[in-house]
Order: sequence, then structure tokens, then C-alpha cells
Amino acid sequence: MKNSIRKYRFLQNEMTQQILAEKTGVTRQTIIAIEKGSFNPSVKLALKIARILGVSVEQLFTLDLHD
Amino acid sequence: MKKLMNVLKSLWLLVVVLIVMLAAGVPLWILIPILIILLAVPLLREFNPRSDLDERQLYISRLTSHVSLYVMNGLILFVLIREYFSHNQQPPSYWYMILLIPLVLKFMMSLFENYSPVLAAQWIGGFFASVWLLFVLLSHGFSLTNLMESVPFLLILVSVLLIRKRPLIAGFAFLILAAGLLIFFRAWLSMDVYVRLLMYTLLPMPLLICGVALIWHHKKERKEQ
Repeated sequence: MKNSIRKYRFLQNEMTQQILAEKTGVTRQTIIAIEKGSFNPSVKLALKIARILGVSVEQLFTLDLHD
Repeated sequence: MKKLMNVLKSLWLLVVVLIVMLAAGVPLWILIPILIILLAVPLLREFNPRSDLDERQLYISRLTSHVSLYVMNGLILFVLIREYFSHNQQPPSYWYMILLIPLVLKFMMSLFENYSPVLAAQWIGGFFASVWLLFVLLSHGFSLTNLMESVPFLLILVSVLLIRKRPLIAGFAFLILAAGLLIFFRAWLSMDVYVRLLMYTLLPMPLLICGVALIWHHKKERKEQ
């Protein structure tokens, strides 16, 4: 699964991973893992991130060809 | 707060290792309460509904526990095999208890977490009925004693067949069977405490859990209707 969190973070006044982590109630390591694609967030966390970044979940996360 | 938790976790592990290293020189009346308190601390955290861990950390925590369980099983198997070959006799019964109880618990919890109580109880009931029949056949063959000892098997089998249509009756039947087995193990069989614990976990406990789950399921279904 690919994601565009990094892109939308920068579009949101260059929001840092730390701020996004604090707003979503997770650790910065979790945000890093999600951005790297090594951890798939739950629907709840994905919705939270999408709401904070002002986009839809579909804009943030897209399935890979092999998914 | 999160940094403090990490420091506390490292400190906890350090104290546990230290206590284990010093165990030989510490009197038992000091050692045992300290170990109980130390090992109970991580358990308390599991019961805290407001966990300090986020979903990825919880995932990591569960994954590491899962891997640790299998490492522990590997170590127990290693000890069992080594003991067997070095002394050429069956290892003490507590090794079997330590090996099997966590595995039975994991198996049952996975079933109830993955499937409905009805399906889980059917599987567990069917499994234990088969184990009982196999045990009786292997120990006595086809004889009168065998017929007498097959009664619990028949009762479990009837309860399993009743699960879908009469979950409440099946639930109570499981509870009665579990209570009967508890009394049987306690009153008629003279077993070592470790073997007794193992037997309780292998037979009455799964039936007890199935019984409670089926009664709970029936109550919930009636409430929804």
C-alpha cells in the first residue's frame, strides 16, 4: 500500500511528523513507519490522519498493483 | 510520560535480571514476594483500558509475546529431550505442564477470538470427545471397563450435537460435565499437583469455558431479539 502522507503534511504548512503524531495520539515512530509503508494503520487511525490533513483516506492511501 | 515508561520498562527488566542472578543468595521468603510483585507489574498494564501504547506499539508488543512463547516452547522441548537422553527416563511432569498449558490457552483463545462461540464450542467439544474416546480405546480396548469409561465421551458428543439447536442446554451440559470431571479428578485420582493442573487445563477448563460462552451467547441472542 502506498501513501501520500508526506506530501500532504508539507501542503499543510510543512507539518512535522511530531505534530501529526501528537494530533493523532500516536508516537512519531508510528507516523514514520506508516510513511515508510512498513506499518498499515487501522481504519480509525487512517481516518484521523486524513481529517487532520484535510483530505480523504483514498487520497492518502492507495493500493499497490500486487495488493 | 512515554519516555518515563520506557525508562521504567528498562528498569523493570534490569531488576528482574538482577533478582534472578542473585536468587541463590536471597532467602525464599524475600525472593518469592519480590518475584510475584515484579512479574505482576506488566500484567497490571494489560488490564488498563487507557493503554499508553498506540496501535503499532500494541502490535509490536503482541508480536514479541507471540515469538517469545515459541522460543519458550523451543527451550522447554530442548530441556525435555536433553533430560530424556541424559537420564534415560521421562522428565518430571511439571515440564509437560509448563509446555502444554500456555498452548491449550492460546488454542482456545484463538478459536473464541476468530469464530463464534457456537463454532468454537463445537470444535472444542468435538476435539475433547475424540481425545477421550481415543484415550479410553487405547488404554482398555473393547471391554466392559471401556464402555463405562466411554460415558463422558457420549455425554460430550450429545452436548456437541445440541450446540446449534439448543445452545443453552448444551451450555449447561458442558458446565455439568466440567464440574463432574473436576470432582472426578479431585476425589478419585491421586495425582501430583502438576499433573492435576495439567489435567484440569486439558479437560474441565475447556468444557467450562465452552459452557459459559454458550450460555452467554444464548443470553445475548435473546436480548437482541
